[in-house]
Amino acid sequence: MSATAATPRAVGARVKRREDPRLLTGRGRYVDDVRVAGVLHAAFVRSTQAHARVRAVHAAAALDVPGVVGVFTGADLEPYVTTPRAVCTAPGYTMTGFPVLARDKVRMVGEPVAVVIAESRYQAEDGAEQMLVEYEALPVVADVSGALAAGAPAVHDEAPDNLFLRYEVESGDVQAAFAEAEHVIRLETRNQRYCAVPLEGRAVVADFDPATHELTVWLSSQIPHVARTGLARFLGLPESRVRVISPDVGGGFGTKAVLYAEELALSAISRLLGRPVKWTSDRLEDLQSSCHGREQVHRIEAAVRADGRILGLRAEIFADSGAYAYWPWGAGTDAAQAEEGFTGPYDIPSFARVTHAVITNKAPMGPYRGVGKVMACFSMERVVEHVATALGLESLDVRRRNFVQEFPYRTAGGFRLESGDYARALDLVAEALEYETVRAENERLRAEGRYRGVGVSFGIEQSAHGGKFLGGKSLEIVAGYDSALVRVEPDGRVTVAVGLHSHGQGHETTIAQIAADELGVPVDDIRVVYGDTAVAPYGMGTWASRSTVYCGGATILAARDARAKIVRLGASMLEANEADLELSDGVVRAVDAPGRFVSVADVARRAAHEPHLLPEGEEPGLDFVRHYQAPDPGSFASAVHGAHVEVDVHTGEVEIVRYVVVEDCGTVVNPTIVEGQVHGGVAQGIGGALYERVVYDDEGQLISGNLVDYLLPGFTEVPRIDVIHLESPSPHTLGGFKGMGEGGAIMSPGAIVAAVNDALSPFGIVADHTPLTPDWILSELARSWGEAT
Amino acid sequence: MKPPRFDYAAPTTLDEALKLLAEHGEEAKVLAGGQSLMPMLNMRLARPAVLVDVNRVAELEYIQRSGDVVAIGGLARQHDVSVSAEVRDGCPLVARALAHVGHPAIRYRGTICGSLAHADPAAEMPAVAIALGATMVAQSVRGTRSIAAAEFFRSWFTTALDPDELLVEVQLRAQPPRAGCAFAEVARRHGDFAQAGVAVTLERDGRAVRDVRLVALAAGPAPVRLSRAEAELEGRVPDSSTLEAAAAAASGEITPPSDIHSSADYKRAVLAVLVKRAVRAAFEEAKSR
Amino acid sequence: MTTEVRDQARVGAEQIRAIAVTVNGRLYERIAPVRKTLADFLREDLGLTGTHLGCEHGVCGACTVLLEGRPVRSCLLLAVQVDGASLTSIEGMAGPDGRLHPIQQAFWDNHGLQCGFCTPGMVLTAADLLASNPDPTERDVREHMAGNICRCTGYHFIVDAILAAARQEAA
Repeated sequence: MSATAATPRAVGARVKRREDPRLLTGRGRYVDDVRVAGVLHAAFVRSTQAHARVRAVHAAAALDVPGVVGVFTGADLEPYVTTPRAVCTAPGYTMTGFPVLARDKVRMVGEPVAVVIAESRYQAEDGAEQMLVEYEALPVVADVSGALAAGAPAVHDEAPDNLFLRYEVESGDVQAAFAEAEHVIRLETRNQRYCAVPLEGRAVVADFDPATHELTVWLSSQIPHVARTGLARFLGLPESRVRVISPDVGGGFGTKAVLYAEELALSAISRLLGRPVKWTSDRLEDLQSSCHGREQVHRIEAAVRADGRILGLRAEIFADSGAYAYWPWGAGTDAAQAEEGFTGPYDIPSFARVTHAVITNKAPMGPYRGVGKVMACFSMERVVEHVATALGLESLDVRRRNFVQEFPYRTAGGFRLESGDYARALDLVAEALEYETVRAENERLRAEGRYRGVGVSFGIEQSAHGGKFLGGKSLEIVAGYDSALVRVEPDGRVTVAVGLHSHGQGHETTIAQIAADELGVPVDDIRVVYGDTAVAPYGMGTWASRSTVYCGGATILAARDARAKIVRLGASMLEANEADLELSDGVVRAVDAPGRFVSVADVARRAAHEPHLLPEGEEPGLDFVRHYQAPDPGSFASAVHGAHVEVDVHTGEVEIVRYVVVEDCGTVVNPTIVEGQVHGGVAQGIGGALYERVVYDDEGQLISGNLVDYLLPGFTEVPRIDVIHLESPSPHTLGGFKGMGEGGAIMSPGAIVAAVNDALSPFGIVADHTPLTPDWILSELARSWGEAT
Repeated sequence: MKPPRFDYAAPTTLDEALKLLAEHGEEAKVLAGGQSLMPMLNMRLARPAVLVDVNRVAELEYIQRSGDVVAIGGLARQHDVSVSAEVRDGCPLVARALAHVGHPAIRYRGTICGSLAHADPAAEMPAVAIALGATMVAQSVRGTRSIAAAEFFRSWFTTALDPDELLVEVQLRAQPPRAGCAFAEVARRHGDFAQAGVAVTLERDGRAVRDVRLVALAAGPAPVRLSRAEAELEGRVPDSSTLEAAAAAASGEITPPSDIHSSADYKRAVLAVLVKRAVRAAFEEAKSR
Repeated sequence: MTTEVRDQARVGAEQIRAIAVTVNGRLYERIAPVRKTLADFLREDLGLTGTHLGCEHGVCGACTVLLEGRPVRSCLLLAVQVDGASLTSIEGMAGPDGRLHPIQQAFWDNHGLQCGFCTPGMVLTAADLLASNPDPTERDVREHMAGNICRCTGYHFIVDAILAAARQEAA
């Protein structure tokens, strides 16, 4: 019908981001930038105890502080807000609530207990300092072993065994695999607790209008519509009277994809006071009470044949899930993702696993970029490395011997890997790293007392999880679709409103690229909006690398509807047959007579202002809303990461000399944006591999509570990262897109650990954990030298 | 993270500043560069009743050399000191150490004297001051006194200054002709506080080391003069076994704390490595002069 | 002397002071509590919200502004300290006609930002680098910029942007 061959495609082009001019000139609008008349400021009083009964909260001294307007405790808010309780009916899951302000008990250091409201944040903090909370300490459940020990205190009454989740799955024939095995590899892998640390903290302005009974919440959120649903539900308001506006968001990485107590508390307080209330988490609060990620231990057995073929796996998975379950996703995601994604890109049908999400007196685990996929990839790659070492094989060859050869492939975890070019990816990484040359050179350097190593990590990234797949998680909100509204304005320009959000991914630009190609309209004529629930159709937000597939898909559907009607109206205006027309560059023209055309603007004017001239039966207007359900179980990007490191064996310091990524995320919308996402993810993975640690002591006190103690990698810690693109389109998604935003963080820790192990192999040091701190490296070296002498 | 309430004064003369300190004593804190004090105020870890902002006391802004003394005034900024000819020529150790201090924005505001008065044992300047045999000049309404660097740093964040005293100047010994110096540090990231570090000055006498001074930072409550390590080097040729002996001695002389980043054992082990590297480098420099 | 402290103007318990400061070439006269940080003053009192708060303890660099042309962490300065001084914030980098500063343009051309929160601090610190070292090596760039944290980009394209800006300003 309509060809766009003459116009270069916007999808695939390195289009410059349209978000950037405002962000570069300090005109971005983040929640803390929002001015609302009459706004008051909040400071949260937070628990200093990891596990304690709350006996009393004394506010009198706080109320006397100049500027303080009010103090609110859980009791004060009880009539206005109910306790969120993430619903999950999956077998083995125990549901628990997450109180907005602690009532009888606190379960983590940093848990909100009360709120002080004042004329300024300075004065609110003055007031918070004067609050007196009486605690009666309870024994602290400091870690997984403490949680599971006999006689351990129950953090939640509903879960006397301190488990949010426990379940067993067996796929294939594991017994046969181990019976047939010529070797059994055993190992324990470990990732530490670390967290996202978006540079913008969590931010809320809650404004309840007493006249209209409408609540407006500016929220630094990745999930504005879902947050709206939660706010409405727990505040007892009709959802149609709640508006969430998520403007520019300064980083999220999953931290802002859950509902927190603070936005509920502040909304309730705004209603009580009849005034808008504002709060942004400071960095201490963020490190303490925004979600944490990653902390898991896996105990693994691998059944292996002498040629390196992995016949089967057993794993026990323990996720230290912290004290609470966030609404709406619950507390099982990290553990479940580790289990289901464990086999990665490899053909291993036999896999038996027991999965635990354990309750401890720490801040809750939340969906930090990569979530349980990080530990899944880390463990599987450690297995591969151990297999290679045990059998005297090259680890790249072990990968080649085991990866999936034919697509589609259904994994033991229930994934359907739909496409990929794994062989080529491995070859490209080896080539980019100059693998053979470099390894030979590294061997020579050892004689000079310099220790360099190379390591690779290969993994898949499940993105844009499908609705049935998510439905199988038995959550109350199944994020199995997303939405786009395409509206051609009367002047012919186009507005695309989508249900995703952006916290740096450039969706204003990439969605416009997709819409431009589908509509046949110049990219510059398209404006993309999102984040305001009054403007954007209901969507599930941006997380789980879902936006390009879901909102790209919905945009394509809506844009096709728009295109069809534009061409139909154009045909009527030109008195031509639709089949003889094409739409490109904003013009509907006759293919054989290019002089005969109408512009999209002409068509739009007809549709908006000249209803009397429309053909019989044709409705006015050019608004199209579509919802797209991505294919189940999701789309599967893949990547191979390669790291070349040097270890200073006198100080334990690790320098990353070279880092390459071969990235396959299907059809690429904007290669530069993909590279940026990979770079950022790898930087976070480097942080996890070498620098970042959330540290609690035995009493559940957070030791790593500021940025001097919690080490974010900087310019001198993160090297250049070379990205090579492969494109194995998805045969199932509209556009062939796959999501990829998390992969950088998923594969990187394994590559770095493998490289450090390679560098330290002359000393017989093998790390199966992160982080590899200089202290750990040096003490292992000392031990090995001690053993040698 | 907003500061608590305090009263604020911004004297424009040294006299005024000293009178304020005399009046308020323990209840006052001096605000100079603010790079250490402001974070503490923002976190409400410091709660002075009165903040005496000395940034407008112009008479304290100077870097001067006279003879073999380089005098750095109380308000001289770390950046300005690091690029000044007086310091680059006279006390290159200071310039080298300053490259490890924070980042440009910190060095544009932070002062040398402020860092010395703050006495963070993981900071670079206190160890450098001891290595250079510095003299601190403290002034109050009661008068002026000089305190040798070796006596100045008492314990964690504690100096010999009285509450009403201001550190108005630090006098550094200029490096003699056949001398060398080196500064070596290991930090988790560029610009971070040291996990271990050492400042070295020495002179060369033929093939041997003479007048060596080794001062360790991140070594305990205060910088540590590594006198046993120095004894292993003094008068000797700094070959591998001598350096090894000095390094081993140095490890044993310090009592670093374990902290979130590394254990005491790590810090001791790394100090040994840094002593070898720094002494080698300083001696190479001395040989070249 | 002592009177200076006792007789200060106050609102309630809060000591306040008059501040006259030039920001981006424009003189502002305000009254503020003495404990108010420069970052908060810029954002709240002057409505210049391009300067961001990422940590409030001097580590992340998101709050960077130029004080008398030198980058400083505005979370570590009190507003009263800049009375009589001249500042440049991110809002002052583009030309009055809206034309981007070459560093801003280079960041745009090279995808040197994602969420944009660290970007104002990056641009101003980069301006300082290029003013003192117009032809930096990659190592120079990384060391000079190390006091500015980014959580989104992994720094790769920021480095490219700064090197591109250096080449462009040299041309």
